[in-house]
Amino acid sequence: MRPSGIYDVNYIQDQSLVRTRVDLFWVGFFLLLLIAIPLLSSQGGLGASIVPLRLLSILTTGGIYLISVTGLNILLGYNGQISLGQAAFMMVGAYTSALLVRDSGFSIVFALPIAAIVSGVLGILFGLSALRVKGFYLAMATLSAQFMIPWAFTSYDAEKISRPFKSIGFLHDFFRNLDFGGSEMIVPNASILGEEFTTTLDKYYIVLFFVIFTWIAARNLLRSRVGRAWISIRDNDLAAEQLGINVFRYKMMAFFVCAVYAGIAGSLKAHIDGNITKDAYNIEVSIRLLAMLVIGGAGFALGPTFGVGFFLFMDRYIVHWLRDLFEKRIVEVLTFINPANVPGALPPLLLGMLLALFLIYQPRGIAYRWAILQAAWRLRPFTKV
Amino acid sequence: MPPAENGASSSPILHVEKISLSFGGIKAIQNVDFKVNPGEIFAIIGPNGAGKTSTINSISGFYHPQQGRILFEGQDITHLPTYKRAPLGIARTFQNIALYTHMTTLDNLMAARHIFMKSGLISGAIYWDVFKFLPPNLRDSIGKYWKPAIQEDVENRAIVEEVIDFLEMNHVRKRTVGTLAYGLRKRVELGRALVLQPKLLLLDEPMAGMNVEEKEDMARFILDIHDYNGTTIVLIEHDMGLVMDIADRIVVLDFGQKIAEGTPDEIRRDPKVIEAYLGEETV
Repeated sequence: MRPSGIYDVNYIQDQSLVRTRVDLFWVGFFLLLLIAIPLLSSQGGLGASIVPLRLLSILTTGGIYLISVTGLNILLGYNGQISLGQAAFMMVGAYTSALLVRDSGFSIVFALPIAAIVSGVLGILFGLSALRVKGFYLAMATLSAQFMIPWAFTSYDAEKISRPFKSIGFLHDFFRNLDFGGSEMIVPNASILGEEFTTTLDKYYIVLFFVIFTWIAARNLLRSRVGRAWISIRDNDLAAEQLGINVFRYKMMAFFVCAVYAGIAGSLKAHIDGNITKDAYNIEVSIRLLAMLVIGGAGFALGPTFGVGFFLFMDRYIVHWLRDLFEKRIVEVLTFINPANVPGALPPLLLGMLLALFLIYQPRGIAYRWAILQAAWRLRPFTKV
Repeated sequence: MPPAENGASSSPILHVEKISLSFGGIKAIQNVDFKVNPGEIFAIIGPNGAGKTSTINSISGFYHPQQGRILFEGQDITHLPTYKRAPLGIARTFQNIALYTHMTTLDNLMAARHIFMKSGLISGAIYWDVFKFLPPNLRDSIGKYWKPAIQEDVENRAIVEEVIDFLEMNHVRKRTVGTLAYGLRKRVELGRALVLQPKLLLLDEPMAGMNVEEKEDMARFILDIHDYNGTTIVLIEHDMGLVMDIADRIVVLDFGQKIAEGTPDEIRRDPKVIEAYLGEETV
């Protein structure tokens, strides 16, 4: 709902994202805030160390997940397809980018887009099943990506793979020299024009740049022709087809974009973590990404932002707070439990419980609640909530 | 908009040539054959389960008949993929409203402009007119290869707004269609078909479940579309009075077979039609 008393005089104005001065103020405010936060940390160079570095690295991790979840939002929220392999596509991006930087000496400026495209193409490959199946079955099909891709990377055996290509020299060398590092790969820092990104501050800013970039790209895509076609397919694929939309093609485009976003996120994650391990991209991560989207509100522009923010807050603070609350009592009440296992076992349990509560009481996500609040604010003083 | 040329020209815009469609053992359509002339309002009527909707679905590509051909402007479209039919100039509405429920009226219509637009992933992601600040001659040379998505949106928006005006939907432009009343949703669906600027408009029970006033409105819109745009309209409707009033020609289906074809007056007197609708006289 739009605020009253504001009139558009042309279509461009009607379609713009920042329409009023109040909008402009908030956009400027948050941008400045995001840029200013790290300057107040010990690495900021202003002499102030109000912001702990730990917060910066949490924000950086959050930013990476945000990019990935934004991709998932396009696929699940706006196109109605599902992917349980988002973490695997992140892994593809991570390895591609890491190999390009480490072995071929690429700058991240080139490595990241290439990683994104490679990941996107794989996304299409695993999305092909969307031609025939929907819903749960599609989830199963994309789950295969989640099992195959990490397995393929971590159990890659250069000797065995390159042997059949003996007669083709360059392919043989290529596969022979490919080194995914087994269970853990060490990744060099990202660098642009010889400038290496080493500090928490640098990493924060590079992620911030990509977050803003991908966020705007997603927002624009979704209000252009492609985005409308995606939503049409989600809302009514049969009607969409009869109105001239090539449904399969647009589903594949959604899978592509989703995986491209995963690739960007994965590439950033690899260079920022400094390593690639199997655990950082396993099925649990895929499901967490999905959970972030559902909590935030799938199909809302602000959904991923709310989702990632709240999920990380829940995961890192609420769950620990609840654990401290329950830890002692649970052992007192349930005497048959081994007290040593409690601290490790409680957090996932509590997180699961919180997620279940969310799905029961706020099934459409925080962004939906936010939209209602906004509407209520605009209707004041005649608000009925 | 120029008024339609009245009077049938010699070549039919749509020729349904002896199509048969069956689902397993059920024969939905058998040997149905009719021609629709350009600029005509053509009605398909018949009792429930007669195969009316199946016929429309075959024309719009939802079903592919097993036998026979469908010719649109002389082109065989029987096996043409569904999504390639809209660009030819075929648009339709659905019996059970099939709108994009979560979009606004405006976005529903904009989404239907899909086939007239070009912007893809990259220009969609950029969206804005990023070359706005370049000198005009440079902009012109770029403009040959590149049209900003926003410009395309605005151009198509003008056509969409024309349809919104025409169908008197201004007040619901920004409302989510899922929240609209039934009659309005039917109207939005008609609008969505109209923005495709079709040559052939297939209306599957556009007035089902409406009260008299809404029916009159809808009939007025249909006649206006026909008169101003010269659109050929194929219509399924159960309200006999209305069909007899607005249709130029009528085909009657019963149990998947054509039992009569002709002007409303001929149909009204046809004994087979009377039998299909009222049952055989057994006195």
